[in-house]
Amino acid sequence: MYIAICVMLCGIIIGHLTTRIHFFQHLGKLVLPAILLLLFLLGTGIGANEKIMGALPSIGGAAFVLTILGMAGSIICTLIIAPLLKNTRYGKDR
Amino acid sequence: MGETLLIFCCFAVGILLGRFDMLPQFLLEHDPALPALWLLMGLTGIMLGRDKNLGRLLRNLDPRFILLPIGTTIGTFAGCALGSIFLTYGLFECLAIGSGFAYYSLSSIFITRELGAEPGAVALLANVFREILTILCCGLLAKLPGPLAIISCGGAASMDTILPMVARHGGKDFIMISIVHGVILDFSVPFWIAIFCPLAQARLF
Repeated sequence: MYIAICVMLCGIIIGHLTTRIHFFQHLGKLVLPAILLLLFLLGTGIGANEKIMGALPSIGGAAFVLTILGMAGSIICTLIIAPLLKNTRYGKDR
Repeated sequence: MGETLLIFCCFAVGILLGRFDMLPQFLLEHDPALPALWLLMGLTGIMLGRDKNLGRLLRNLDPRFILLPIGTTIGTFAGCALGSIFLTYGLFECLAIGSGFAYYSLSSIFITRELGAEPGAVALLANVFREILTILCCGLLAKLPGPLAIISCGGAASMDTILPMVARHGGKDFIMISIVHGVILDFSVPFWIAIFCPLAQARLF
């Protein structure tokens, strides 16, 4: 996990040093293909994982309920917290 | 919507190819999602580094950022506690499962060891679902509750897998709070599991 953050920090340094090189501007177009590649590979990892696929029919429903309720609770708390962050740029509605 | 559909299709095709063993061997032997994540993080970093307001983004770090991981924790636990009413699992089992905050590898290993194979498998699935659902719904989350909801739903993954989505849908301003949120939740996962597992074993509720 922390390697990913280090890679991003390296990217920030590279991006900062190359602000005058126009070629790097076009790298932004690669973000969506990279997201698609990541999701495809995450999918292959899950599909090939016998433990996950085997457990899915019996306990997938319970896991899904906990996921949805946990996410819903988080969203509600976010809505409560957003005004408390008002003076930072995160509190304002976007 | 088109983008979400495209993302979902890629994910679904990946699952099918993985399930029916139609992948080249080298994809199965290594974890190819990790280099893909590094590529995405590197690209996000380059785009962020090119931003003329980078210094301003760093100066935006605010002590109040800690409110967001606290909110995510309270909201997730409240949701899981509600879930324990409908499910066959106990209150503390559900809280232990929820305290993975999408960090599925660590939480499922701990919970399998402490509570057994079934809660461990539920923890694995629930936390995988949380990460994937957040990625698939991030466009919707950014539009309706706002980009903070993507960070909150992403849980501990808000500092890696979810971070490029936050940058894409919320803008660069949300990157610092997303990293702080992810790091705090990431460190809190073993702590919460260590609290809830013994309580679940005691079968109080």
